[in-house]
Amino acid sequence: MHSFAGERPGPSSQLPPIGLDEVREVAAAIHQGVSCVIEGKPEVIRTAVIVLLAQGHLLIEDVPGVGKTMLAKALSRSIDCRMRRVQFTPDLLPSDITGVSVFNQDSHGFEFRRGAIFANIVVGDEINRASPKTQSALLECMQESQVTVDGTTYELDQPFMVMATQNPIEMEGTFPLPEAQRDRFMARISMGYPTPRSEIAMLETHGQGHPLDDLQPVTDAATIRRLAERVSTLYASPALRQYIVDLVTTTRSSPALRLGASPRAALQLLRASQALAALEGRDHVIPEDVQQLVGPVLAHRVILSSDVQHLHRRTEDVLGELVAHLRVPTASRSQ
Amino acid sequence: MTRARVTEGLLAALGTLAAAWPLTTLLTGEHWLWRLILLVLLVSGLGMAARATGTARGVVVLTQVTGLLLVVFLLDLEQHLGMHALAQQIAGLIEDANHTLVTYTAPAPVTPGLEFVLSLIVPTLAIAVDLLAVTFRRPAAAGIPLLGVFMLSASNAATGLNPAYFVAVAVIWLSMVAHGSSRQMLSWASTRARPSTPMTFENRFNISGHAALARGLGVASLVLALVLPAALPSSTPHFFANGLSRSTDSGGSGPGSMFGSEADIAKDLRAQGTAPVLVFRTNDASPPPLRVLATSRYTGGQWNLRPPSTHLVRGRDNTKLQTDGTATTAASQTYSLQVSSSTIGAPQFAAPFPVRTANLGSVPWRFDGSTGQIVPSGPASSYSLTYERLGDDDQPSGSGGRPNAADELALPTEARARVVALAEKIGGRTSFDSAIAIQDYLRSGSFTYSLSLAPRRKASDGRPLDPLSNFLVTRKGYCIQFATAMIMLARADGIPARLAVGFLPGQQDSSGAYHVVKSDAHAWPELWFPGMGWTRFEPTPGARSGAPPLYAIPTQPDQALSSPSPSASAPTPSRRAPVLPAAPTSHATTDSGLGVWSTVGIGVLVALVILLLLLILPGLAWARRHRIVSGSAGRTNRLEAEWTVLQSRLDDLGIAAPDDRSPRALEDYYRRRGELGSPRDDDALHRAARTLERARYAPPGDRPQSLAKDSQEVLRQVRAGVPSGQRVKAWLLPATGRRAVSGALRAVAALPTRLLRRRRPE
Repeated sequence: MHSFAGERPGPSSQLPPIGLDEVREVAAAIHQGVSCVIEGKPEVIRTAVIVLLAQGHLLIEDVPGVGKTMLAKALSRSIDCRMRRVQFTPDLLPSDITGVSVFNQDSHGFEFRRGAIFANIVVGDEINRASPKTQSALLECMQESQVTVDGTTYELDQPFMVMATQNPIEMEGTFPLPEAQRDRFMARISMGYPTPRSEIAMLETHGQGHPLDDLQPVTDAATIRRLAERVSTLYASPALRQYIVDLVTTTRSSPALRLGASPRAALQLLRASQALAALEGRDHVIPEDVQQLVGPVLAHRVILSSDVQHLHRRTEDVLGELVAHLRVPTASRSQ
Repeated sequence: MTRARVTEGLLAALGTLAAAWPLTTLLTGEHWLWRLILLVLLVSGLGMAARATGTARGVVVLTQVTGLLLVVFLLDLEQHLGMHALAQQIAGLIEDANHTLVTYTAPAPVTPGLEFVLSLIVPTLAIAVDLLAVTFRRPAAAGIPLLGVFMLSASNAATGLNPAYFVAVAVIWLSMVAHGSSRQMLSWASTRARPSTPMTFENRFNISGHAALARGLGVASLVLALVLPAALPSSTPHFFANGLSRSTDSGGSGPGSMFGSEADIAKDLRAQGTAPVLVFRTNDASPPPLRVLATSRYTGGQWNLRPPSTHLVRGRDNTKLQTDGTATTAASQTYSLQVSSSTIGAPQFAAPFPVRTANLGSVPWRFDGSTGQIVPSGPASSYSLTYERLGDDDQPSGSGGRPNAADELALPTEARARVVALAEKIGGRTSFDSAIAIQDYLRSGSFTYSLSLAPRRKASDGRPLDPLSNFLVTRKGYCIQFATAMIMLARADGIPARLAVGFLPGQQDSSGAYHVVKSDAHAWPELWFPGMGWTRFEPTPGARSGAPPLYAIPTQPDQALSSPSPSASAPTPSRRAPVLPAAPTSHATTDSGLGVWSTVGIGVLVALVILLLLLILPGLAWARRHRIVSGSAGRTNRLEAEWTVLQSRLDDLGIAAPDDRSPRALEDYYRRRGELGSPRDDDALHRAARTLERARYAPPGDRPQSLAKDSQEVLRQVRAGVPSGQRVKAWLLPATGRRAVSGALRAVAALPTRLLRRRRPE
């Protein structure tokens, strides 16, 4: 029996506490590196970095060929982490994800072969093509940050981030993630097509060779862990927590939405807001942080009511209207 | 049930009853009220039943009218079934009602006739209300018949109606309108209208916004309708609070015709006012009453008191006037009389009878020779005249009747038999003796002077007695009844007689001037005798009538009568004459002195009131800000309070505070609206917004101190940018104060909604 706990790095508290300036610098460096590979998508890269720092998982929904996998690769290269890519197909088995115990003739014992999940960044390509059983195996790992096989629990490396992609077209023979599963992703983004200018630049750079090869790591996994720790302790005042609760409550009571945001959504919204505040070098979260993240963090968790669906309105726009009409609590009212 | 429209129908019935409610102040008893309620409910129920069957609208009204007539006729006219008898009975009842109305002042007893008329009028108006509000679904238009019902009481009330009566009608009418309108709005669409992405919860039920607004408007207009007339000082205010009094006795100052009907005289007699109607001086020691009207026409149980319109000739000042049917005897004397102030308006005019010369100053006038009445064409407030009085021992001389005396000898048919029989019983050797005997009969103790008449008795045929017979039977009445009785008894004896209406001479003050007040109103008979002409008699007993003229006292002139002996009359005029001119001058000086002071005082008062009004809004704004600052404890709360104060001051400067936004959003907003330029780090607004942000969101221990200095700086910058008019407005009419006022108003207006909500929690 092998325990992989020894591979885990020591607690980060042994290192000197990290400053907010360092968080900002490292994040900027990651951003800089990734944007060399992904042209003209600063918002997408920013959200990916936020999710990384907030210890969440990212769902990327877009058509093929817009650079979903490239984003994941660039991100992992920048932070000098192990990256594994899993192409989800209908015949993919849960053990392919988690790993499997095999009998070792030499040692006359079972040996655990680690699956694709044992990496810092796992790219699940076209996750909706796999069977629900395989999907739920992945999602369990995402939630628990651990793998249990044959009664043995294996802790996953930190940082651990799943970037799953979903193809919104070609839905034939797929298993779209149910709402409960989508809720486990901190944010959902869609890459979108690049602007003509970015596309021209892309043709130019990619023609000469792969820019990914030139990408130099700007930090390491240990630093990312410390950054994440710092982000999770960033101060959120009572007024701000009140604001987040007001916001999710509004989504639950709004007649425009059939399904509102879950308490987990509230928690992840706070986490993401903390990461964004840290990215800007602030030691506290402000409502603007929350407002910027409402779209990416909440849009994939709520369901529009049928009336509004008929009007072909985007979920992000409906949420934006809700936010625009929501009152910001003052310090005196939230206490 | 929806076709019957039960709610609307009941509301309409309730509205009619509320409008009829103030009738209780005019009429005594309760029986009629129950009857009205039942009848109104009957027509309302008939309307619902007819509508429920879905018949045409005309049929609905027809059903209601038929039902009403059937029930009323069955109640009031059950004994007689013949058509002719029926018509006669109805005529009798209406005549009875009419008599009750002209005879009694409020509160009047409800006679069968009045009850009959009321049971026709009020339910008929109820049908009209029902027709408009329910059958045609135009509740707003139903206000007109409702107002009609209300006016029945309002225009007849002597004193002001309690505002509660008005409020009751107004509230029910407004509810009718509200009910109708909300039903109309709800029927606009079959599906509930809803915005595509409703953001605020008030918007979700978009109908409630309109309803609340309408409710607020209704309450506000109701309050205004009550408050505004009371607040307006001039014109004829207190419209609904005082009722539309028929007479002008609200102040006693307004000139106007005094006598329009017999009821006016009764009302005048009850009047408590001490404001003089007339002030005059005369050299006559015992002046006769001053006559205003004379009439010979008695129809339908009452005198026709309209002013003369024929036989008028143009009058000239100080020329001798020829009055028909007057005679100058050897003993008759001429006296002069000066009226110094009169509030009797044209065309009425008070003077003793018969006038020989008159001087109305600049007012042109005409003269009716047949009655001896002077008809001024404008208000004559002061005038002088001379008149003649018969000698104390004058007797008729000569013989023969007065020609063309058909009117003056006419007897009312309904009382003829009774009057003729009574006149025969009283009798007298000569006609003059008969007249004195009739006067004595009426002045004897068997008749009672009373302003309230006895209830009407019924004749043997079941119909109510006519007024004259009723008086002769019940022996209770006031001057009109006594005079009428004497006139009719005299006419039965062949003596031409007519009614004179006017004023007793009133009280003499220390300076010798006579003050006539309203309650000095009087009516007396004038009988014509050959050789004497029209001769005044005094059949009314009691303190509120005059003494009979001495010629009309048959036996001992030394009887204990209040009038002084004629010999005393000669010296008095010379003694009083010099007093006359002094009085007005002194009055004038004090008046003008007071006038200056009162003008200044009113000016100061008005200025003070304006100043106070100007201070209201700034004061409210100050109070609101003071409350915000003083109510904040702790550093964070104080910063929030300081920010709120800054927002309210910016609001005063015309930059309305938006709903609660985040500090950065507010900074952007104020920067854009206040035209403060692009953000800079050393900018006051930027600093203030960041201070607030840190106070709200930064970790404890990093709390900034105050943003008072920064807000001063922000205000200075914004003030520099706004036009000066806006700055003045910020001082005098701060938006914060206006919001305080409108908030309070809205709270009042929302009160019904809240009460409704509490009763019916959703």
